[in-house]
Amino acid sequence: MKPPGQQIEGELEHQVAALRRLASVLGATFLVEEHDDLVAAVARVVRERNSTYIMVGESNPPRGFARLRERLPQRLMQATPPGVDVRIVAHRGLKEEGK
Amino acid sequence: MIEHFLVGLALVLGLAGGFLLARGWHRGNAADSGAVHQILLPFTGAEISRRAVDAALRLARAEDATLMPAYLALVPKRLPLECAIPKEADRAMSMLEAIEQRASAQDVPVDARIERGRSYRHALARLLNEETFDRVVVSATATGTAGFSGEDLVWLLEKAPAEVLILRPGPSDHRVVSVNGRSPDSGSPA
Repeated sequence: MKPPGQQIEGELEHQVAALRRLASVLGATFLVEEHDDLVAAVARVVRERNSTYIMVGESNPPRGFARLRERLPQRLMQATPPGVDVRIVAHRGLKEEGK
Repeated sequence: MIEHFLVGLALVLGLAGGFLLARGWHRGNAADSGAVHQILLPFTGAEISRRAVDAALRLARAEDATLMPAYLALVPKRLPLECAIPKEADRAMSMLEAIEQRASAQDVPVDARIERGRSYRHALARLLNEETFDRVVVSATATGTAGFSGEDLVWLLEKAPAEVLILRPGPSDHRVVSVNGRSPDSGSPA
């Protein structure tokens, strides 16, 4: 997901290329969507592709006024059709630190 | 009384400012150093010498580098090179997971890869072409049925645009990190 007009270049381009190759190895489809609103864009793709599963990475802890905002998983759950799972993949390194 | 309060306030503000400056400087340095160092750890098959993994992790930790374990997958000539290889990918994921767990325990960041090729050397060549790294750590022993041949290692020494560290564990050292997640000798999780 990237904002409209933003170029994918430098280290980001390298990481996107690596992800694209990984998707190819796995037989998955890799999409780059342009949208200002992450949740709206995910909801659109889910509807278009009849997806039943959304996996997201762990977010950084919110700071300042962001604490008052609803968290991404909740917003995804609300924006997508019923029956779509939202799964958060934890950062393993953080899990080790928490032991 | 008011003077004491003002001095105390100035002291607190000074300490807070110093702390914020130091934190920003530290973060900047960490970001700079994290962007350059990559240690490539290419491997084949369902197991890799534990000595090679540990050596790569020690290097990565000492140099504040990212470990890049790379599973080299063979694609038969009857299939397109860029085709999906779910069975190989499944095995690769298990291996990469085992290595990542080991790296995570030592606070080493991991950026894993799966590379396809007609031969291991071909996959390695594609990897060298696509990725940038500072070191390559490779095990000289062909553990199991798969692995790098002596010729592959000589080729790597000639072609890799980085330092190459070839490790040959002793004849009695059969410790491996494997798909089943256990080391044969110790019984401890790999």
